[in-house]
Amino acid sequence: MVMFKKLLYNPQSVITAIIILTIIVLGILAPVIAPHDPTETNVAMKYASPSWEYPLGTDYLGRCTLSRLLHGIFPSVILVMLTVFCVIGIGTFIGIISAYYGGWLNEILMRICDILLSFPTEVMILAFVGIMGLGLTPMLIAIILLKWPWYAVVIRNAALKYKEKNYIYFSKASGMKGPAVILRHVLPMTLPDIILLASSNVSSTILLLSGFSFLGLGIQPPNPEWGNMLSEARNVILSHPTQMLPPGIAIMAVCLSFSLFGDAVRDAMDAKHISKGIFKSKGGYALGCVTGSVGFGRFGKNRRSLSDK
Amino acid sequence: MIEICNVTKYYKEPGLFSGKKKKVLDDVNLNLDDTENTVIIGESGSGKSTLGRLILGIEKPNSGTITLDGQSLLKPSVRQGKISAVFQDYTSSINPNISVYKAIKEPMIMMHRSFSEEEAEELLVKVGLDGSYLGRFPHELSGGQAQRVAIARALSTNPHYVLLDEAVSSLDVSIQVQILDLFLKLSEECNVNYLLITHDIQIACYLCSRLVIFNSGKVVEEIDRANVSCLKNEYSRNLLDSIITI
Ligand SMILES: Nc1ncnc2c1ncn2[C@@H]1O[C@H](COP(=O)(O)OP(=O)(O)OP(=O)(O)O)[C@@H](O)[C@H]1O
Ligand SMILES: [Mg+2]
Repeated sequence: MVMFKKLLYNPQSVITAIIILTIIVLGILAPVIAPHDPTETNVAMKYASPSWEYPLGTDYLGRCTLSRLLHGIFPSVILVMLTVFCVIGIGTFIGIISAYYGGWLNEILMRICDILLSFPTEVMILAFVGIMGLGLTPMLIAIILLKWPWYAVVIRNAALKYKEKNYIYFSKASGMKGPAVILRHVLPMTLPDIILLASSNVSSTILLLSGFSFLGLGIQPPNPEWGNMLSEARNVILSHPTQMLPPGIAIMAVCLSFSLFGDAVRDAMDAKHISKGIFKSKGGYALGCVTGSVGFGRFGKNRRSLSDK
Repeated sequence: MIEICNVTKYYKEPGLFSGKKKKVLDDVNLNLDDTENTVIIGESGSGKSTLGRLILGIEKPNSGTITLDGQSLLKPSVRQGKISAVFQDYTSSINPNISVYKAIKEPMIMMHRSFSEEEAEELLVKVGLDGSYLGRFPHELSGGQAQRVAIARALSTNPHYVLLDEAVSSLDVSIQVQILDLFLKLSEECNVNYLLITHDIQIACYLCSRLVIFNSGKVVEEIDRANVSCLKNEYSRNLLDSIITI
């Protein structure tokens, strides 16, 4: 409850949450609200400037950019979020189990992770797509299969910090069983780390997928996706540079929102900062606005949280 | 009765391939009966806290058994509600994310017992705090207050055995006396037994009638409070002398 209150008073979390939610709602409502069919071409109108009929103009086939952008939300954002959710779920489960129980279970799980981690992700995704065919589904499956060990290792390390705390000893001593201890103590303590990881990885997975679509490996044309919109715009970067703007800005806005929201949530979950939350959040917001640099802000916060624990 | 039979515990030395093991407890035999309180006295690093963790069932001994009324203490259900503890390091004794009230209530939840705020407040008053602390979070408590919350939490289930690992050492003298009196009262009224680990011989003799002298993982001597002056073992005599002269 304290956490939600803190989130509500923090402009950083409120603004980014509104942006993310709006985008998700727009994505779900896309078939209803999009002014045109995203694949409908109108060669007479190619490269049109924004007008009432085409609010964001049209692309090289005269397709409505706004409609393509809206329909692109589903594969570019919503499916990515679901994928990251799956990956984080598996990673958290494996990571916490192997941190908490240790012993041979930990050894086996971590060796499996090591093996999977030794493959370079991008190359393995290419191989996967090679076997299963082009398209979004093989790519998302490949990401789930290849990325969870990375999360498992990171979350295991986060959970290990808490394993030998006296409150966990107390719960065990007074007869609480393993799963209950994990749910009551280990998971809530690692949650800030997990959320930070999730939020920054939604961004990086969006970028990864857009990257592959940009290369023509993801969603196949004519279906809209932000990455392949960008890729199509690239062909005319000199003659029609504004074509880059809608998908580019959309990708940037979503990634930034996820990162900043993740930062705000983990700050809110840090119990130690309850009493000074508002001042700090203003500072963090200002920093975020001024530098616009997510990485810098996060670096400072991580260091602080490490020295707290 | 808690019976500790031939318990040995090793820890791995650090280093991936060192493979060396360090013997922390060496064939410990000890019975904790439910009629008297016991204190373990020993040098720093002699394995007292380790023995405590084994008794609580948190860690497994490498060999030997620890039983409570004949049942292995490694089973959570055997420990439930019967055993409790206050640990040496109070800075991590309460989960920083939960309030004092929730912390005190925790052992009750497992036993599916209700525990009202009034009961929690009563308990806090007994350890020298008051109801205003119920809603606080651990980072808003001083070290001594956190320790007293931990003591309140340990007593909340009316356990049979409580391990007190340096539980009162960090408190000031007046509170120490209040809490030791509370311990004694509970041990008479509710049949709570303590296993105290401390360096303070006065506290030890105030609360416990049996002294166990511990040195490098071994029980060196067991003795009654009345006979402290006639220790047989050389090491234990030196240890007690040095503690008393300080
Ligand atoms: N988890 C662990 N891993 C490795 N070695 C450990 C571990 N816990 C304790 N030890 C070692 O075991 C020995 C006994 O430690 P223990 O904490 O039981 O001492 P103690 O008697 O409680 O000392 P103190 O009076 O200072 O609290 C020490 O040498 C310590 O280094
Ligand atoms: Mg100790």
